[in-house]
Parts: sequence; C-alpha cells; structure tokens
Amino acid sequence: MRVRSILSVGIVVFFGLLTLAGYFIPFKPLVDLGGGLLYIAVFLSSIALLVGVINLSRIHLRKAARGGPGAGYSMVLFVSLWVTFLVVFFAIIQGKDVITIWIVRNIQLPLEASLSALVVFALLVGGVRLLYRRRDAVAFFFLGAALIVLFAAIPLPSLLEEWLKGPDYYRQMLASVFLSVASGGGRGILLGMALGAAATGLRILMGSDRPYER
Amino acid sequence: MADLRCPMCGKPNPADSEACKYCGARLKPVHAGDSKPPAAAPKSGPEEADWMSDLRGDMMRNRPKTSMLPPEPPAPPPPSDKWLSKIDARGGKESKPAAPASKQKATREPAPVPPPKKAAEPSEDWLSKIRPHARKESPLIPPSASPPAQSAPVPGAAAEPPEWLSKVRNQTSADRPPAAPEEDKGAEEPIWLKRLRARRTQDELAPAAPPQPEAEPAAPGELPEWLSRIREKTSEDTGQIDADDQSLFSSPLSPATPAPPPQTSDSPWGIAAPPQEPRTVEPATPQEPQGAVPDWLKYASEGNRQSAVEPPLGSTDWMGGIASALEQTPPTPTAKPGEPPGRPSTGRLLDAQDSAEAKKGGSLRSAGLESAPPAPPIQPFSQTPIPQVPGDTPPTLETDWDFPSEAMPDFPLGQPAGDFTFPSISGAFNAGTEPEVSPAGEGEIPDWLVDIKKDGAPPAPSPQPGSPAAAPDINELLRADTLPEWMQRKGAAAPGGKEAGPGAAATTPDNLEQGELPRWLEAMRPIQSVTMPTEDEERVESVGPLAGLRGVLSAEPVVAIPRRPAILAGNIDASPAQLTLTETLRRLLIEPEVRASRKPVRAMLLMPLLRKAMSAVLILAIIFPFFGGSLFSNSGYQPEANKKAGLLVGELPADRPVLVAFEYDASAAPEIETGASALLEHLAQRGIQVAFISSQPNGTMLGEGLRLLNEEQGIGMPPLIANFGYVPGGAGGLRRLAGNLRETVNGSNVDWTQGSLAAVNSLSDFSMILVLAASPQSVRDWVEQVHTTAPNTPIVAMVSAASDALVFPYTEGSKPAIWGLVAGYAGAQAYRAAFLPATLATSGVAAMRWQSFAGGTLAILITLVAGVIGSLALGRFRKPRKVGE
Repeated sequence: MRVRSILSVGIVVFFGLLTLAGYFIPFKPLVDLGGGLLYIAVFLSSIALLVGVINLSRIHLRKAARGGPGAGYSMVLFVSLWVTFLVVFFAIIQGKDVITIWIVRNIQLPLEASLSALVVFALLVGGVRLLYRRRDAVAFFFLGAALIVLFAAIPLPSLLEEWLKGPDYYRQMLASVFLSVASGGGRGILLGMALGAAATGLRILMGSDRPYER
Repeated sequence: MADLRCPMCGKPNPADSEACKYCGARLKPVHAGDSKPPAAAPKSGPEEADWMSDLRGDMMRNRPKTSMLPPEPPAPPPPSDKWLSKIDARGGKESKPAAPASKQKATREPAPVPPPKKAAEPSEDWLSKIRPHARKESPLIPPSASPPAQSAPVPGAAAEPPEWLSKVRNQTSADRPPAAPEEDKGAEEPIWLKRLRARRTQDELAPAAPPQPEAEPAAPGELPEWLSRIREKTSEDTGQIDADDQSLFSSPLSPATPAPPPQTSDSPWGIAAPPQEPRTVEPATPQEPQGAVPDWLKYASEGNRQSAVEPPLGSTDWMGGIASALEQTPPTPTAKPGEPPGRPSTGRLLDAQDSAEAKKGGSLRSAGLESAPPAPPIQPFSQTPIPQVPGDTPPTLETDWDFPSEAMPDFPLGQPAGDFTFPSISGAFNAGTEPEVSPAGEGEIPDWLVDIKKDGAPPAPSPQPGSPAAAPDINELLRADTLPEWMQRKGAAAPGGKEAGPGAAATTPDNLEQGELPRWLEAMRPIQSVTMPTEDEERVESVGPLAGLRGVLSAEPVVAIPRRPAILAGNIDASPAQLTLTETLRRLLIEPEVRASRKPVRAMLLMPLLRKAMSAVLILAIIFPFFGGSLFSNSGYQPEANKKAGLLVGELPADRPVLVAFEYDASAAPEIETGASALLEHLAQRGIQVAFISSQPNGTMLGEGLRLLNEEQGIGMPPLIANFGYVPGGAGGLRRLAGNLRETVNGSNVDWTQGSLAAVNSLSDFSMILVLAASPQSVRDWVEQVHTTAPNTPIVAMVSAASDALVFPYTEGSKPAIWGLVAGYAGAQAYRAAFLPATLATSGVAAMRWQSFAGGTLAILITLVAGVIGSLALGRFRKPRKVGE
C-alpha cells in the first residue's frame, strides 16, 4: 500500500470516528467538532455541485461547437443554463425571487409535469400487455396489487356510492389489505436500506472500502 | 498336454500355440540365439525401429538429471544423418594421428569404398549394415584391423547377433527399396532415427550450454519405474546381488584403475579404454579430483599418451551418456559366470553399463567376466566401411549438426592432459561421479546394439523347447507388470489394431465381437483433429544453436501449436434434428435484421391500435367531467394517518412557527402541491407562521411560488416568517441543520429577531415539521437525521402516492417518527374534505381537476382489467411459435 493511500485512509478513519462519536456522545466539544466537520463536508458538496454544473456545461459547449446531431440541443442547454444562472444569481443578490419563481413555475414545472404525465400511458400499456407476454405468478400478483390499489383509491361515482350506502367500508377494507401488504414490504426495504447504509459506513470506517481513492 | 498360460492375460492356451488366443501376446519366449523367429516379431523397417527407439528414448527421457556429459564448452553437435558413416570413417582412419578438432574435417580420410553389394543398402538399415561387419566371417574386415585389446575374449564384443534380429534385418533388407545414393541418406532416414536424433540433441546439448556442477549421482528413484521393476525382477532372478558390482561402475579415473595399455594404432575406437581389473578385486574407491581434465582426456593422457585420440568433439556420445546414466545407478545384480547365458532381461540394462566400458577400449566388460566362455574375436563394426557410392564425398563432420566454429573451442588433442583445462569442469566430474563418456566417438554405438553383441558373445546354447528359464525372456521384459504404461496401452490395443506391439498377435479373439462405435461418438473421435507432424511438417529450428536442425523438439507440445484441424465440417455426421438446430442458430446469428423485419403483421397492426385506443380512453375520461359535470363524489377514503395529520395541525400552538420542507422537484409538483395547499390552508386557518427550507436546489422556489400562486387566487396562506433556502449536503446537511440551525441557515435574508423566529434556536423550537416530499428517500433523511435530534417535534408528511407504501411504516408504532401522513391526490382531497370542507370546490377548475383525476383513474382500472382478460384470451388461443421464428 502506498504512503498516500495509508495517509488518506488514516484521515478518513480518524475523522469518521470523530463524527460518529459526536452522534453518540453528548460532549459539547465533540458535538461541535462533528458539526464543524459536517459543515466542511456540506460546503465541499456545494462546491462539487457547482463543479458538476460547470463540467456539464463544458461538455455540451464542446458538443455544440463540434456540430453534428444533437448540437442544437446542447447549445440550447448551455444557453439556458447560464442565462438562468445569471438571472438567479443577480436575483438573489438583489433579493428579488420573483424572476426565479417565475422561471421555475412557468417553464420548469410544466415541462417536468408533462413528462411525468406521460408515464401513465407507458405504465398502462405495459400493464395491459403484461399477461400477454409473461404469464406467471409474479405477473398475476403485480396486476392484482395494482387493481386493488386503484380500486381503493378512486372515488366511486356518486350513484354507486349511494347505492352501496357506505363506500368507506370496502375502501377501508381494500386499503387495509393494501397497507398491510405494502407496510410489510416497505419495512423490509427500509430495514435493508438501513443495514446497507450501516455496513457501508462500517466498511469506510474500517478502511476496507475506499471510495475516495477511485 | 499342459496348457501354456499367457504371460499377459494369464489365460490358458494350448501348448503348441505361439500366441495367446485371447490377447494375442506371444506365449513362447524369444531367445537371443533362437533359430525360429517369434511369430509376433516386430515388423521390419521403421515399425521395428519405432518401438525400439521409443524404448530407448524412454530410457533417455527418464534418465537421471545428473549430467551425463562433462560440462564442457559447447561442442559441435554430432552429425545427424551421417553419424554411422562417421563411425566407419573413424574406423578407417584410426591409424592416422588425430588432428585438432578444428582441423578434423580436413584431415579425415574417406571411408573405404565398399563393394557394390554393400553400397546398395540404403542408409536407414544401419543396423544391418553394421551387424554383418561384426561377424567375424565378414570378408571385409582384415584380421589385422582388430586391436589386441579387442581381440581378447571379451563378451559382448565378439557376440553373434541373435537370430531373430538377423532375420528381422534380413526381412528389412528384403523389403527395402533399391539402394539409394549415399548423399540421399538424410532424406531416406526413417522417422525414428530423426526422433532419436532430436531427443539426443535435446538431451545432450541443452545441459552442455550452461555448465552446471552436478555432483549428485543418479539416485535409484530417478530411474523410470518400469526400469526399476525390471531391475528388481532381475535381482529376483539372479537371487543375489553382487556386492562387487559397484566396482563395475567405478570410473576409470579411479586411482585403483591401472593405466590402460598403449593404444594400438589400429584401434577402431580411436582410443583404448584402460584395462580394468576384475571387478571382484576392484575396490570402489572414491575418485580423486583431477582438476579440470575430463575422464576421456584422462584416458588419453594416462593410458597411452597416444596422439591418435579422437576426441568426442563432434561425436555422438549420447550412448555413452546412457551407459553412464546406467552406471550411476546403484549396483544391479549381474549375471554370474555360471549363469546360463542369454538373459536379456538381466543383461540388457547391465550390458548397457558394460557397453560403456567396452567403448573405452574395445574391451567389453573384461572385469568380472573372466570365467565366461571365451567368445571368438569380433571385428569391431566401427571398422566396417560404410557402403558408399564410388566418388562420393567421404563422411565428415560437416553436417547441419555442427555448431558455429566460434562457439566451440579447439580441442587440444595434441596437448597433454595436464596442460589442458576445460573452462568449466564440474566438481562432480572431478569427483568421479560424472558418467563415463565414450572417448573416441564410440558412443555412437547404441547401447542395445552393444547389448546384443555382448549377449551373443558367449556361445549361446540352443534353447530347449519348454525350458523358458534358460531362454532370453523378452516376454519377461515385455510383461504387463514391468512395462511402462504407454507400452501396456499399446499392447492392449494390439489385438485387431494396427498398432500391434511386437509381442502381440494381430488376431482377434474368437469370443470377442468387433464393436461398433455410435455415430455420434465416432464423429467426436479426435483422430483427425490433432495430427502428429509428419516428416514433411517437422519444424526446422530457426534460431539458437540448433538452427537448421529439422525435427527439433519444440518447447510447446504438439497439441498446443495452433493449426487448422484436419477434420472438416462435412465429416460431421449430424442428425436432421441437429442440422435443423444449426440452421436456426445460423439464422439467429447471421440474419438478425432480416429476422427483425419479419414481425408478424398482426403485431404490427395491433400494437399501435392498442396504444391509440388506450390513449383515447384516458383522454375521454379526463375531459368527460368538463362536459358531463360532477360524476364522482368529492369525498374519498381517508386513512388513519391522514386523520392524525389533520388533528395535529388543528392542535398546534399558534405562537410557534411550523417548518415546511419542500423536498420535491417540478415533476412531482402538481401532485404534491395539491396536498401542500390543503395543509397550508389549514395552517393559515390556524394563524400559524411558517418557515420554508429545502434540501433540494429549487425546493424553496417551488414553495415560494406555490404560496404566491395561492395568494393570487385568493387562497389563504400562512405568513412566511423566513425562507431558509437550500441546505446543501443532503443527509449531512440535514444533520448539521438539526445540530445547529442558526449556523446552518445563517443567510443574510433571515432575521432571527423577527416575530416568533426570535424564539427559535433549534428545530425543537418549531411546533411541527411539515415535509412535502416526492420520494421516500427525502422523508427517510428527515426522519433519520432530524427526528433523532428533535424527537419532540412532530413530523407530518405529505408524499406522493408512489411513496405511500415506503413512508407508511414510519407512521406506525407507539412513538411514530411521522405523526401524520397525507398521500397523493386522493389523500389531499380526503384531507380537505375532512378538515377544510368549506374549501372543497364543487365547481371550477379545482373541482374539474378532481373529477378528471377520478375519471382517469377509473379508466385506468377498467383498461387494466380489460387488458388482463384480453391477454389471457389471446394467450390461450395464441399459436405456439415455430422453431426459428
């Protein structure tokens, strides 16, 4: 192992254990030290975000300058990015968020919401053709769960609701079935994520995983 | 009549049978002097030579690693194709004084021109060419050519060849094509001779290049296993081990060895080995270090100081190496004088040792065999002139085996032994452990040939039928338990096969039927896939000291050399089903685009129609409320967590602000903001101030825009006391936020002294945290990083419907991390219907949005059900796909 690697591992392990101690030991200097380290990390992450934006714009600028297919889109992205950046930057300096809010709500939000709405069509087509292409227990289970959730979520027509005389009953029943099943699955997923995060943290603290050297 | 048991399979056979009717092995042993050749004698010519050379080659391969050659400087390799000719040439010129090695070629005299009859023999029959001259009745050998040392009654030297071998030779001569000129010898050499030469070259030249001291004599364990077994068998046969045999293997450099007699000028070997004492009286004394003088040079200097020494330079001393290797082995019981002669199983190996001694001075095994019956003097076959076409160039050392002249030093033939020192002489050699090497090119005689000569030396009595004990039991040598594995396999494959061994009959037993291989197995046999290189394909070394040599063993095995297998695809016998599958695979691999273009017309037409139909259904369901009015009820199912969220908001203190976290992006804004609006309206009704914060870059922008939008529409919104903005760092930022709020959001636009914010020093000072998140990851970050720091501050989440399943577990338990949960558009509508019934729109855009949502969801449900039914129906009647479709 090289000296640089040893040094980096030592730094990571030392400061990691220090921050971890700040979580569990209610000692003010230790907690403050952990908070300071977190601040450095947060600041560096902000810088990293800025660096990422700069790198993205550089790639698209090169792509736009080179020409070829997609060069126009790259140029639009580059111009939009830096125009928005400059506008928001000066808006923040002047304390006027109206322009920023207008850009977000009238440009970004409709575009992204429309793209999200198209997912409904894709999901619907996929659900319809699921049993045509794949006919096994998993497919049946998936479609059954989807139908139950949808049936529990949709409001019934007024006439049907009056005819049933108590719509909340069957909805509650279906929702209970759904939530009991979904809650079990969700808990399992969350526990798995927590264990994975703990294992990853331990690996980094023990020096066996060194993502900072990649 | 007593049955004869087969030595191979052990089954009884009639006494008069020559070969086993079960396995084909020969039943009656072969005698060295037997007048009747064995029935299953090896074929003449190359086949005979193959197995014999294999046998010898196996001995050479398994010989000890101890160098059999003195670590002398790289000597020119012996001539390959004319080495036998050179033996004769030496015999013819031995009376001439030896010249330095560098001048040997020039000083050599041409061999005597043989009579035309002998010249007609091709060179490949070198065995038969040599053998006749070994006979004393040969008219070509003058009596004076026999040196006194060799005219002594030495067994082995004056041997009469076995009868079977003579017959084999005669048969070979009879089957041989007409004679070829002398210069075509190399081209007519059999393959076995080339292989033998290649092995010798690899075994001899490779260790000679780097002189390495090797002092360890050959250990018994280094012998091949089968050879050891033969030796053990020999010791059993002899019944005792001659303890003095060790003296037999002692080097002539031993001080106890007397000086050899003066070398006669007509010695056929070029040098006379020192006469040895009888081995019964020769002590096995250790060798004295002799400095850097090789043993063969020692002979020349100590023996007769004769100048006619022919050094081994350029000679083929591989046989001497073999003999030396055998000498290095532990003492082996040898034939006692009183033993019946003709025991090749015992004598073959021992006589190989003796042959080394015999090579030294033409005196074969003079020690310890005094009591042997005197054999008639035999003319050394090296004196026999090789038949040559008149006018042919005499055989010289100028062959392709010669090393470059600069690679080999001039041999100091004319110098005394003490004046010459090899640059690299191993200590082992000086210690006398180095094998004895034939001094004068005599080593070119194969050991087995010397073997035969020695065996034939005593007057072999005619073997009596039925007395195998007195016969040279070659079957004993070839017995199954003493043979190496490869020979056993060969012998086992002999019946009915073309590779019948020498001791196997080519007859198929009657009780066995000829088996037939299945077609698939026959197609898989690797007969043609890996072919051994033929004579024409033998590679020619291009670099190194062996450059120019043909048939040099390659560093890598034959199977590892890339070559195109001879087997062709057309030879594969495939069934029709296999051909069909092959064609299918070919179409899959070669014609993917063609296959892709062959989509069924039904699928090409159905899928676009299906997509369009579903889109139409959804669009109609969404726009139907605009024309049909309110079809669905405004109330929806309200889960328990939803109720708890509304109840908590209703009970919040009005003097403490609520922290609202906008953790969604623009794509999820329409769904999230529906519930966010309901909750903010509820807070506004309560008169609770709010502060915005987000860990998303544009989260607070969305929140600020939502608040402004609602205010523009006349919807009551809570007063915003602070916009903390973006908290970078994700989970880490939230952790830092929970640890130190004021330092984390120490922005210039935050006035901590304004209103209720003055009382806020940490997250615990907020009455509630409202998390508006589109993904469960954001909720998890807030729960894990913030709620652990401020557990007394309740968290209410408004998430998308897709995140409901993963966020819902946080709402369960006695101390839930999330106090209330509003999920999706339906949850927001239920919240509004439950806690803000006055704001529930019955008309307008908000009402139409709800009706469109309900209609679209119902349309999706119906479409899915229809799709499931249709898929099941279509799949039931769907035709199975054909192979290759």
